[in-house]
Amino acid sequence: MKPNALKVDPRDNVATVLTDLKTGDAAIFLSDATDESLLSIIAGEGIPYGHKIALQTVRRGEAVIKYGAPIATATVDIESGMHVHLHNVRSARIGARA
Amino acid sequence: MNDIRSFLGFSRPDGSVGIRNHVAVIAAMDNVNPVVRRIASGLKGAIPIWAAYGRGMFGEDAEQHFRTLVGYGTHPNVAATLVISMEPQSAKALADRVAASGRPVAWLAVQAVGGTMRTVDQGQRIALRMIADAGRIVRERTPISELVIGLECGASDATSGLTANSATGLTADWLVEHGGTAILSETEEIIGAEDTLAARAVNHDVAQQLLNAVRAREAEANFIGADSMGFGPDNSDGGLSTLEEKSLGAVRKGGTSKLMEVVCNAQPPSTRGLVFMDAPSPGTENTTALAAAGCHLILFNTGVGNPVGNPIAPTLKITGNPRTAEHFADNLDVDVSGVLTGGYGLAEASSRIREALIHVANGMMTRSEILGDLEISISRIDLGYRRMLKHEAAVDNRHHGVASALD
Repeated sequence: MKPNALKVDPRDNVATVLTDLKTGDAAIFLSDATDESLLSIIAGEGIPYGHKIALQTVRRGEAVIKYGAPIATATVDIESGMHVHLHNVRSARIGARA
Repeated sequence: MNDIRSFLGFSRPDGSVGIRNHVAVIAAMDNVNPVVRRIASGLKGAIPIWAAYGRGMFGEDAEQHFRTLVGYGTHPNVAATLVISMEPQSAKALADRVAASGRPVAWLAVQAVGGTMRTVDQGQRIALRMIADAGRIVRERTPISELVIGLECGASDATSGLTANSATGLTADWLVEHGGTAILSETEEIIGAEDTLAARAVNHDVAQQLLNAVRAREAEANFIGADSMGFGPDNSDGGLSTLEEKSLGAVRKGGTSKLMEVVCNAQPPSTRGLVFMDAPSPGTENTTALAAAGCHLILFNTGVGNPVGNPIAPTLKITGNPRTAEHFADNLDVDVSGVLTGGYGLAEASSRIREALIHVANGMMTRSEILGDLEISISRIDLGYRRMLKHEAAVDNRHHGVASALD
């Protein structure tokens, strides 16, 4: 098992995938930057390289956390394993800008 | 040489310690840039410092230009300085500031000496002696608390925030924990992450200065019609969903230490620890400002590949992008793409950066030093825009005054 995703901060509820994932593929990531133990989550849909996968359910209106800080607000309920991007989040700073 | 808590540096009369022992040949204005290049090109150990402008500048714009050149003439990595200008006043003004730092300094004015050939001849003889004398200064073991490093990223991509910037942040934290100084900059790349950074400010004033700097840069970008949001289709294609996400990736390179001070472009910090410099983000411009503030070296993260380095502050090129690590290898000093491909974590990536940093501090040349990819570009200040702001502030105050009188 080799990591193919990166969770930057222990508080993050998303990880960045480092390979194109298809539905049913496992995203494998270090549990945090300094820990060597691996965790995995199954992709619920295709997720391209560099994009984010939800590591837990993020409810509508809740913050998406990356780098240990809010990077966006969920506009719909996002299930664990799903692609997190423009279609289901928005900036908390600059409105609904795509 | 596994001790990473000290380096071998050159002591200066002003108490600073350098990691290079250069003789700087500085053009006080751009009309003598060719003379400076000719003087330095004939002598090993002389570094030419030349930039556009320097003549016909006014106000804050002129002050910033002068402050930058003073920063180079008195830099810890500089043993002695030769100032060249067209006329005596500007040469002497710069030389006087260098002399105040206790460094050997001399100046020549091309008009007074009698043209290019005589100035090159006299200048080379002066610089020759300076270089020979500088050779007597030997490297001494110095704690890393003396080090000031600049943090820069250029040609960023989706991997930047996740790998190189995060690993550099751990490196900045390590240096600050050991009493050193790290300068984060690039004001427009803070937009969206300023609250996180301000929350780490040592006091309210520092937090406010940071927020003001970000607000001012955003307002200026809007005024000139630039897309101040700095978030394009390439960013979202690469997986970034919001500006906050992009900026949070950029500020990662500052680490997690307390923010001690906010300084302006090319201003040396008055404190140790993590410092923010309000300066534009383009690579050459930003490294010019960081070096002028006294950074001994610069950690420069690049996603796609930016070759430029600073002539006085050795600039380490770091990438976390596996494709760039291969494609752009000639220009790179540290490859941390293993975070993405090799299964090692950020801690290991940071230790690779630390090791390279100490080697470079001890004298190992960076790729940009070897290749001569060394450039200076001094930021300019739009005095018309500044004047308009002052005018608007004055009008606001008058209105406020009227309102208060009516209350």
